[in-house]
Amino acid sequence: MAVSVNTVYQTVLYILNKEQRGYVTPSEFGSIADLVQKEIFQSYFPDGNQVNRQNQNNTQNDTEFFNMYKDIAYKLYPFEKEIQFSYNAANDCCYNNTSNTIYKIGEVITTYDGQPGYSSIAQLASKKDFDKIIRSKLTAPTKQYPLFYTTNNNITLGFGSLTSGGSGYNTTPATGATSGGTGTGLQIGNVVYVGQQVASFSILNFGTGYTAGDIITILGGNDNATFILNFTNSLVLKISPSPSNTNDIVSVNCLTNPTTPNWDFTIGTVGQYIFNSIGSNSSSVDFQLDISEQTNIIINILKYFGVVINDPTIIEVAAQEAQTTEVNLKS
Amino acid sequence: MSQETNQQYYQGAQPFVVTAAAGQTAFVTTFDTDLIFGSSDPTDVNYALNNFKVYTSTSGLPGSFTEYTSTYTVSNNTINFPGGSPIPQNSYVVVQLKTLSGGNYGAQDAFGQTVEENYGGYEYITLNDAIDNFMVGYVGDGKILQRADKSDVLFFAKRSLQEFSYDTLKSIHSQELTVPASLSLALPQDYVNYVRVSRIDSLGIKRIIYPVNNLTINPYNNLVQDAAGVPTQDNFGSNIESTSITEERWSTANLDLLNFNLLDNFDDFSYWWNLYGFDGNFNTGRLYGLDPQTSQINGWFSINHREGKISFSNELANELIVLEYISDGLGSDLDTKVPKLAEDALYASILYNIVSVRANQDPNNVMRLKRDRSAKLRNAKIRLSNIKLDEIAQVMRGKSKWIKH
Repeated sequence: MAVSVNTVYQTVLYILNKEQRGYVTPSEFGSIADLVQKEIFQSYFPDGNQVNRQNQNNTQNDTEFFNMYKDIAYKLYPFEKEIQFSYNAANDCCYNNTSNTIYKIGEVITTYDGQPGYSSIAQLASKKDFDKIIRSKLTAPTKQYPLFYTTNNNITLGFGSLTSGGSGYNTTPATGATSGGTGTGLQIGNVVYVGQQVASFSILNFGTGYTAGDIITILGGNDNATFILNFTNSLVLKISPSPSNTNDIVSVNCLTNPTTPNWDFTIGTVGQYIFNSIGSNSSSVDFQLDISEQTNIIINILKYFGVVINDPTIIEVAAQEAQTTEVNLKS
Repeated sequence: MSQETNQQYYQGAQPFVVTAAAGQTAFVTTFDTDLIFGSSDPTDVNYALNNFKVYTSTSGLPGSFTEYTSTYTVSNNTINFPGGSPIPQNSYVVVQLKTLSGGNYGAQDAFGQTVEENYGGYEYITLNDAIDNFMVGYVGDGKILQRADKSDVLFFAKRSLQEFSYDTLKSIHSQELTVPASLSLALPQDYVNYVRVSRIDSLGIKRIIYPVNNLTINPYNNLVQDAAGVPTQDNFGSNIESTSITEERWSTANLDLLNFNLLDNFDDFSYWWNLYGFDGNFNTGRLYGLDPQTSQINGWFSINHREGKISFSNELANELIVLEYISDGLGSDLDTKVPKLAEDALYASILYNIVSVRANQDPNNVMRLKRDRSAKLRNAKIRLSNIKLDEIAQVMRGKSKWIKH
C-alpha cells in the first residue's frame, strides 16, 4: 500500500505551522518529496547488502516478521515488475519497449519457442567475461544456458513535447490510439487534459516501424493533438543465443524508477490550496513507497525543510530520529 | 522423477479425448522424450524425421484409429492443429512415439526406436538437470557457495563428466563394423580411446583382437627423400609426403609367419628360417620363449593417428568386428545422461573444483571438499562396477583353484 501524498503533506504542514516556521507550497513540497522518496528507495540497496551478510554467515533469524533482510527486500515490491523486452533485429538486441522506466534489472528469463522449446535463466556477464565465455566450447551459450551483457543503443523511441495539445479532447477522450508516422501500433495512455487539450501523456506501447522525427496524432477530440517521436539512448540486452524468433520471449524482472509524488490542487475562493484527490481528473500521485515508510518520509522531508527554512532545530531533531531508526534496523 | 504414465513409458502412446464442444486444437504431450517434428505431410522428405505419429478416431475402439496426415505443427511438445479445423468433440487422439513394434494404432507402422531409447532412462539424469539441481542445492545465501556463475558450474560439470567418463562411468560405446578391403575404418565421431576390439566369429562369439604394439607402427610422417636421404619440399616449402611403406608391407604381410602356420606357408619357409632360425620356437621374441602379446591368431589392429582411422591386419578383411570405445560423455549435448549412481559424486566434484580455483579459500575447507569428492567418486566407481555377490559366488564356484597373487 502506498503512502498518501496528502497525509504526508498535511502532517508536514501541521508540524511546521505549529512551530510557526512558515508555509510550504505544494511545488516546494513536490520537489522535496521526490528527493526523499528516491533517497529512501536508494538506501534499500546498501542496507540490504549490509543486512544480507547475516545470511552469509548463517546468523540471520528466520522469524516471520523480524528478518531484516526479508523486510528490506519486501519494501521493494512496489517497484518490482516483470517486463517483456522486445527484440530488435537490426541491432540483434533486446530492449524495453514499454513505458516503464527501469532502475535495475534482475533475473532474465529467456523463452525460446520451437521444438523443443526452452525456458532458461540467462546469465549476466560483463562484456569481457561474455567474450571469454562464448569462446570456450564447454561454456558457449546455448538455449539452455543463455548469456547476456548489458549495453546501450539508440533504438528506443521516446517522445518529445507536444507540438499541439489539440482541441475537443476533454469531451471526446483520447482512446490511446494514434495515427501518423512510419510505423504501426503506437499507443498512449495516462492522458491528462487541461481544458479541452491534451496536457500530458505517456507511451504505453511503442509499436514497430517508427522512426525519429515522425509526427504522431493522438486520436480523439478533434484529432489534432500531435507530438514528435525521438530516439532515446536506451539500455539493451545482448543475449546469446538471440531470441530472434517471433514467439521467443525475454522476460526481465526489473525494479522500476519511483514515480514522482505530486500534490495536485486547485485554488479556492480565498486563494487557498485545495487538494485534488487522486482520480481521473487529478494529477495527484501518491508516494510509491510501502506504507511502513510513512514516518520515514515525513521525518526526512522535515529534515530538508529545516534546511529550506534555515531552522537547525528541525534538522537536528529530524536527523536524530532518522539515525535512531537506521541504527535499530541494522543492529 | 519420471512424469510419464505407464502407457507413455511402455507403449510410447499418449491418448487424448476431446471434451470441448468447440473441439480442440492444441494437445500437450508429456513424454520424457521430446517430440521431433519434421513435417506432417507424409510426402514431404522431412516427414521421416518425426519420432511420432498422430492417430485419430471417432469411437476410440481398437482398429478404428487412422493416422492424421493433414497439416499440424509442433511447438514446445504441443501438437497444434489449425484453428480452422479443430479435432471435433468426443474424438480420440493418440500420439504414438515410434517403436520397434510399430505401435498399436492405425496401420501399426510407427516403426522406430524412440520408445526403446527411453527404456531404462530412469537410471540416468541429464547433465542439464544435474546443473540445475546443483544451482538449487549448493549456490545461494547461507549455502556453501554464496554465488557461482552458471557458466562456471557448466564448465566444471562438463569437465567432471569428462573425467568420470574415462574411468568411472559405464559409458562404453560400441560399434559393429565390417572391415573393408582397405583394412581401415574411420574412428567414431565421439571416440576418445578404445576399450576393446573383437572379431565376431560365425557363432557370434567375440574373439579379442590385440593392438600391434611392437609388431609394426603407423608412422606419422612419411617423407619423400632424395638420393642423399634428405626430405624433399614442394614449391611452398613444405615437406613432400607419400604413403607409408610400413603400412603397405603390413597390409600385405603373410601373418601366418608370425604364428608359424608352417603347413600353409611352406613356400615362405626360407623367410622365417633366415629370420629366426629353426630351433623349434618360431614366434617373435623367441629368444626367451613364447611372447604372449603376439601369440594369438585373431588378428591385430592399430590406431592410425595420422589418418584418424583404426587399421586392421589383412586377415581381418571382410570380417565382422566390434569396436568398444570410450567417449567423454559430451558427444551429444546437455541432454547427456549421467548415471544416478554417480550423481552425488558429480555434485561433489563440481563443488570441489569451483572452490579450489577461487582465491582466498580456507585450505582446510578445500581439503575437506577434495576428500569428500574422492570418497564419493570411489563410491560411484564401486556402485558402477556392478559387483553382485551372487554372480561372484557363481564364478568362484566353478573354479576350485587357489587365487594367486
